[in-house]
Amino acid sequence: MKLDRKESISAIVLLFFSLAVCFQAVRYPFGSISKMGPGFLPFYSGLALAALSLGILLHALLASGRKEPGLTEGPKRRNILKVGAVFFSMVAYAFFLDKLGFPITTFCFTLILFKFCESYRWIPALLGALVASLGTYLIFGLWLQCQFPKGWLGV
Amino acid sequence: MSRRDIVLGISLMTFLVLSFGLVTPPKALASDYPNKAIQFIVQYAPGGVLDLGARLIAAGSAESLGQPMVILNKPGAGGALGTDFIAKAKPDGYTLGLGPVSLAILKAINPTLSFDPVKDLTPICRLSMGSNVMVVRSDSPLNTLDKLIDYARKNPGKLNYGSSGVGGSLHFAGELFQREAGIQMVHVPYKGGAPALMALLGGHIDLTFNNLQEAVEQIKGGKVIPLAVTLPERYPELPQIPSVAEKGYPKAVITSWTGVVGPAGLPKPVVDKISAYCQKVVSHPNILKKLKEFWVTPAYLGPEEYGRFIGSEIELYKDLAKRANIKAE
Amino acid sequence: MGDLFANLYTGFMVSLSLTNIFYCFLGVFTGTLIGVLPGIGPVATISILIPSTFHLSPITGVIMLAGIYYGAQYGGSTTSILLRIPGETSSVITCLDGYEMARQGRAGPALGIAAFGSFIAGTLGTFGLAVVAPPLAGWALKFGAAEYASLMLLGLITATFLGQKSMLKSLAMVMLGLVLSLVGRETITGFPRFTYGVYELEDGLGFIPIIMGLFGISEVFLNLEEAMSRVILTRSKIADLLPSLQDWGRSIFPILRGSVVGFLLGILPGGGATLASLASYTMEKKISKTPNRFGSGMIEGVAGPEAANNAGAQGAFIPLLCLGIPCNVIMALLIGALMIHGVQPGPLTMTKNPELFWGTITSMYAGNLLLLILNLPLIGLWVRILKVPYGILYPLVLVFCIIGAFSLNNSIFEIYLTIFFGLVGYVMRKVDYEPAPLALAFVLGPLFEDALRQALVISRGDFRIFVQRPLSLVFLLAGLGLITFPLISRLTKRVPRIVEIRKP
Repeated sequence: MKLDRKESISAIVLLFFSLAVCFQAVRYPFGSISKMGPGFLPFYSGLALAALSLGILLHALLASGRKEPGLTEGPKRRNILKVGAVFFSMVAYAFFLDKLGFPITTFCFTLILFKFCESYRWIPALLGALVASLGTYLIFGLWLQCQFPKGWLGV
Repeated sequence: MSRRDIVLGISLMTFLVLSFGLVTPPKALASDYPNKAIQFIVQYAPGGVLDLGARLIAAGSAESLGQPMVILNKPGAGGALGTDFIAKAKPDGYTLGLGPVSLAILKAINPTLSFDPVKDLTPICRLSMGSNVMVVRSDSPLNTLDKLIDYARKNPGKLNYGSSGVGGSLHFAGELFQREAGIQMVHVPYKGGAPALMALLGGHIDLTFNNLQEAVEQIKGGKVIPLAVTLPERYPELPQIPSVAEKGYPKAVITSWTGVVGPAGLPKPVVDKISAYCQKVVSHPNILKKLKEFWVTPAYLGPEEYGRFIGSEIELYKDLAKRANIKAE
Repeated sequence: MGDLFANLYTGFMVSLSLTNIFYCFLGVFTGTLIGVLPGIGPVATISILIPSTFHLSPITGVIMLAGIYYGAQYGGSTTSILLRIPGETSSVITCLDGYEMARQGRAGPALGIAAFGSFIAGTLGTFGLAVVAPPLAGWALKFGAAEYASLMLLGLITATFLGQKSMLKSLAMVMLGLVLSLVGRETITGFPRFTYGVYELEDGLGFIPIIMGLFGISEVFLNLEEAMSRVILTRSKIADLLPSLQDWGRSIFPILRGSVVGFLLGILPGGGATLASLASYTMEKKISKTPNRFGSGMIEGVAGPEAANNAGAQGAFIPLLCLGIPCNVIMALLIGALMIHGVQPGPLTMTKNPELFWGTITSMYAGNLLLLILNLPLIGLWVRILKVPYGILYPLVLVFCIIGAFSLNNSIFEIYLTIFFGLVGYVMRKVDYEPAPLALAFVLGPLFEDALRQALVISRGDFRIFVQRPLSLVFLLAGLGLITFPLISRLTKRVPRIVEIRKP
């Protein structure tokens, strides 16, 4: 039943999304089929998507009998936390990038990943983060001349 | 991962951040401008003509001004993204940028623009102007301007003309020309001048309005016939192309232009210094040679005149936009 | 023929000079490097390096910059195969089977066949350029908005068949990709759609952030969650670094077919290169006796598309060299670079500037050779990267992706976009929705809509233009065929079964 629930929920989410798209698209100038306005294609694509997600939903609800036996019991809780931690670290990275500047933010990010998500010991983690941040700064910042944001410390 | 680790981690990062602050030298006093690199915003993707032009300007700055001008590309939203960035920057003279014709166009067609080119920007100087040309295919029967206008008057709404996109300077050129010549054509927008030219060559549209440098090689190669340049006089290096003015449509003159701007409230010494530098650059023989190769006309104007010029261009585009019903919502 | 050889001779005399070979090498080396690094693409690098070509002769400058372009095609497949991170639009297809091959310990052969296939395609492409460039240029011009729209529609239909699993879901992903691609200001009226006042959305959602997120970052999330699956990668034997004879047997025809298809499609402005690899993949899948195994490590699915996108890169030079008109952003940059040197390519380049024309063409052959020589030994290096403990590898991968996303437009917004789509891609994978149809529909969507509406403007609203123009009709019929053929074969397959059951 767990697999079906995932299917149904995702289909429902898709359905709502496509309906939202349709509702927004109708508010744009529509035009006719031979003189399409901006809203034309989004509306009909959204409609098609809605129909398809309905189809997927029905398929998920009706085909509950046939299921592959012996499926995974779902992801381990610890690993989901790890995924979440990495995700939020990335968001934090993007947030702090233009406040702390590239080298520092990269250092903190890699440190967090090495030390807290991967449980390396302090010394290797610090060294790794240092090498990572300096290395990428040299390769991308100096050699390839990427224009990195500078934090309010000027780096 | 223990609590001790977390505490250690956070304190380490805080220590890093603070120590960087102590080690970095304090901000230099703003007595001698410029005393560090100037950020020059280009509102277009790297490699385009405007970007290349900006890099030419920036190239000599290390020598003449003592500090380098570093180009920062901020493309998007037809130039609005980068210009907005300039408008909202600190007016300390270390963030400057291009002032292209999109300033006027955006103001004219977008009522919800997040900045006002007159109030939120300091005009520094105008640099150059670009010319537009109308071309048809070499095998087209409408191979002079008069023939085209004649045909268009007899067959309103029949001709297709291509441009580099809705709300672009070439679209405006097309609409302005129609208004002045009293004709009606159908506008087919393309994503840039090159696809429009390709469509013309393939026979899918009847004529195009292009930037001069896009069309020149086709003209020289005999693939397209230029009908007119939208200038008050003939373009010096291409004297065989008539101008719209001499053909009797002086008000159909329209050019694209670019200059240098900064955020509002720039101190006068900064404006004067940069403006003088640009004037020197634009009159340097090497640069003049390059501009000629780009089919761009140097057209320096000082800060006050440039400001007035921008104002008049905004009015022109506002008027055009209203008549041609071009808006950006 | 004698003419041709004379021209090629002129060309080789130019391109094989020591300076030009050196800069060619520099170009392809840099190109490979940035192709390998996710996100950072040839566009940014070429524009940054244009000023450094100031002191070179125009030909040398073009040779180097062109080298970066097709070198990046080589490098782009590396990250697709090793890490499932497509660095370029054209590398998306390589992710499908290439990454699966890597997971089965066959990263070496995958990389090898990609390199060889690209080389063969490049050679054929260069030859094609030399022989049929001008007539092909004329052919490309015949492609108007109607032909484009039909071709893009065909592409969208084809994208549905990319998926391995549920057809319903693949179709839904195509629609989703289409919807996402409509964000931004549309071309015909400039009207902003789904932008909600955010400047960064006005030019649409960035493609590279989306594919990096959907493919690469979601893969990282998945690997972190399912900690066991990485073991497979580390079991590869170092000896199996090159494609076996059997691999070659399976790949040679896909390579040849891919080269032709890719070359022809590369000429078209806009989506040329993406279409090339898509077309090749679909073709191989349709021709194959085991179409269901595509997506689980079929080498044909790597050889064909890789050849196609390299041939496409060569084909893209045709409008530039024969007409002086760029058909994609990179060509526009090359024109800019040439203009700085006072050379403007145009329809007369072939006769006015034969050294430029033939020198560029022949240098591409040299470049392809250099790339092969460069890339083959590197395969051992790349495979060794897979042996790095994942705990060290993935933070670096994430940093590279973030840098890549940022450096496209110097925009932090695009970093957020990448991360967001990483999450979306992860969720999608867990529920068996495939990202490839979405990615392709995302690229083709705006091209389709623009062409459709342009065609309708030109025809003043008359839909018959799509069937009146022969090329357009061909594409539409092909699309129809693609849809109906599987249905028909399913119906015809059922009948005999029923008959058999009835027999006592």
